Amino acid sequence: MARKRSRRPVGRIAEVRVTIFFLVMAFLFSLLAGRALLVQGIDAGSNAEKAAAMLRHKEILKADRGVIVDRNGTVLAETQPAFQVIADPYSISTNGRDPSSMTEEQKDTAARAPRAIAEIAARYLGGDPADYLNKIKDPMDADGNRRQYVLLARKVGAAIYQQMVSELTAQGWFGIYSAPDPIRFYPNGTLASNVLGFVNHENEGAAGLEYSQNAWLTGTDGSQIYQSSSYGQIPLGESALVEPVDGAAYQLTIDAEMQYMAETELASAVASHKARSGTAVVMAVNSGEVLALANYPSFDSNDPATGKEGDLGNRAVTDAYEPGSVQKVLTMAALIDAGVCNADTKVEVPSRISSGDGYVTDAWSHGTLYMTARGVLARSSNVGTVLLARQIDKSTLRNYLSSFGLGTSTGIELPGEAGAGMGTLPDASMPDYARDQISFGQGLSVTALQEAAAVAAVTNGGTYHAPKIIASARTAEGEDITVPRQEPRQVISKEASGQVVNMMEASIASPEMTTLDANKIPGYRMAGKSGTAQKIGRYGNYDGGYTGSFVAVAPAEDPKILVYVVIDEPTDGYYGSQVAFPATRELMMQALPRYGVAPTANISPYADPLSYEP
Amino acid sequence: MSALATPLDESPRTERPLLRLVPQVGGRRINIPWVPVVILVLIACIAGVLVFTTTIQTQQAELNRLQQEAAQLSYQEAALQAQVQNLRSSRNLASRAYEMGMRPNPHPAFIQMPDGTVAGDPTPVTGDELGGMVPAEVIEANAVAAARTKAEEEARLKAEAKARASASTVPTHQGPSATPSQEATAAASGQG
Repeated sequence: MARKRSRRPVGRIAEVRVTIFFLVMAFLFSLLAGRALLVQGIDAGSNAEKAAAMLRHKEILKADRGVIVDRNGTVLAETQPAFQVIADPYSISTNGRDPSSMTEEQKDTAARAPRAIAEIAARYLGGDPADYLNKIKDPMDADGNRRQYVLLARKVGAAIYQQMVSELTAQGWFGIYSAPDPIRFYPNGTLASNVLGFVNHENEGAAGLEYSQNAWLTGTDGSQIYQSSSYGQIPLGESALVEPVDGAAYQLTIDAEMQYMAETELASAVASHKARSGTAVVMAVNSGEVLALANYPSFDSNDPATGKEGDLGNRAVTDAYEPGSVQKVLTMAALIDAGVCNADTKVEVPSRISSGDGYVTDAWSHGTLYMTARGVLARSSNVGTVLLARQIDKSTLRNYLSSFGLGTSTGIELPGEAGAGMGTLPDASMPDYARDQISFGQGLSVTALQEAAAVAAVTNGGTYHAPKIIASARTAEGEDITVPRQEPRQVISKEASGQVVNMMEASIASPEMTTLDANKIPGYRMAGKSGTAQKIGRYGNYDGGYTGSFVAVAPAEDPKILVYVVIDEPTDGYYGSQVAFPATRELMMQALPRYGVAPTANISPYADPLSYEP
Repeated sequence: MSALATPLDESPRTERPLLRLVPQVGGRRINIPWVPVVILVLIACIAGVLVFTTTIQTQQAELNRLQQEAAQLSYQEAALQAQVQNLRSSRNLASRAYEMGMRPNPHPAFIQMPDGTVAGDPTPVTGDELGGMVPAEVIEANAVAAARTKAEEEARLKAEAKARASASTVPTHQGPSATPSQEATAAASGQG
């Protein structure tokens, strides 16, 4: 039988203590339970999110800018992998270790780290080790915050960066990171630099095709999301990849080797005649494709900062000038097609003719000469041309010239045509003396590209093809990009075109011209026209120097290639036949066999008359 | 009277247990200790998962390592490709060919297949057909050399003129200025 005992005071106290103890424990446990409930039950989502965020990293995968190749596949512009080199001075100061748990030896190593890293960086990246040391030696900034991001170098080639990193890792130095910073690389240096243009530091197009096609050339960056801790990437962690989409790839009509020839010949011509600048255009007449577009002086697209500002553009597209006697080809084409005259029309050419307030004379003084229209063109008589041009009304002539593409942009895919690059063509209400002037190439302005396309239209059978420089373009997914183009249009008849080519051939091949064999190309019949235009000087008079040019097409029996060389302000000689013809002839000699035009064995001598007996 | 001593249904009743042992039918009794077995299976499965996960993670680490290696090799390849393209560029080839003494041949000759007829006149190159095709680097190098030679010549002539002027008793205006220009022309045509 249980004995009911009276509770002793000690037992009572013990009981109370136990009760209190249990109450306290219960309270603490309830706190813990509440906290657990809070963490796991109520805030579960945001806590998990915070934890994941500390682990999650996002890396931008840069897209490659579209590659540009020439008509034969030679790479003209491409992207090279490269990095920005970034230093973390705080990490460098502790050599990557946790500062609260470093041994003495590790602290010694960390103290030596900045100097060693600066020396390695200078060796691979160039420059002075002291400069790098200045950037990385302070782990804290003025406000007491950690410095963890200092840019040491940009656009460091990937292979070089990799070598630097392996040396840093081998020696145990931490704190150098990278971010992708690809380089736009032009393997051919100065070749076609004016056409290709260049990019700025952010790889955005700043000139040339890089600028005009920038939207297509720029790809879409991708990203990679992965999880990593301080021990490295978590292998089975979250991983999401958005592939970068590279820019569109372009194939140009430019032929890299023809471009090299054009640039070399142009440089020789400008240097030997001590001229200010020059342009050269080589074009396929039956399609308007630009095979070469050279400018001198030029620059290196890889390093546009070293070029002079005036040389960074494309003069052949942006600079308009008065074309001079080359324009007579277009005038004659209009006249013949309009039925006003033909190649054998007899023209009695006086020594001068009054026009406006003054007189039009020829480049050489003569008495009255009896020339055929062919002779007027071959000998480049201004007076004869004016006499013939006065037989057509101004609006008809103006319409022909406009239909040949003068006075408007050609629509070529290069920037800079708007404004000055459209040239100037007086409208149909021009005064008579203006019509006289434009018939022999003064009083209007054209760009080299415009004039080349116009002469191509005259000589190819009369069809105007808008000049083009992009052969095709394809996106990274394989879709073709359609480039908007003008439709070809018939400007003059085939017969008229044939007659003009015949007239042009006379200036090179006719026995009645004084210089004979030296001008011809062995094995081929070439037709051409020289141009010597006066430039307007500072005070509005025609005393500002000359523009010497020459246009040639070959083979004369069925023209395929056109070469047009323009030399601006030559000082050692100034006639087009002196300063531009040698380069034109040599370019044509190299172009014809290059594009598979077979030579003819026996070329019968040129027999059509340039003059007549009165 | 019958022979039976007692009727069957009147047999003496003794106290018998109501339950009795059921005779065993069939084989022996299987005596498996279930708890240890289940625990063992559990341990085996956990070990299996551990091995499986570790293998995957090892392979993933290997994959990462190989991807890094591939990236590094692609950087080296890109650098070498850039070198190759630079060396293959027309400028580079043309100037190296020029240095080796090659000159461009503007006399085309075509062999028409399949019969082998030759169109054009194959002519050996004399080297001066295309004077405008001298590579720009060669022109620049020549210009630099010519400028240096000219500067040296002028310096030499100035020194001579000075010596002559101080030596002659009556310095004439004609003498020092006429002689240097003649010498300069002779020197220039000799150098040219």
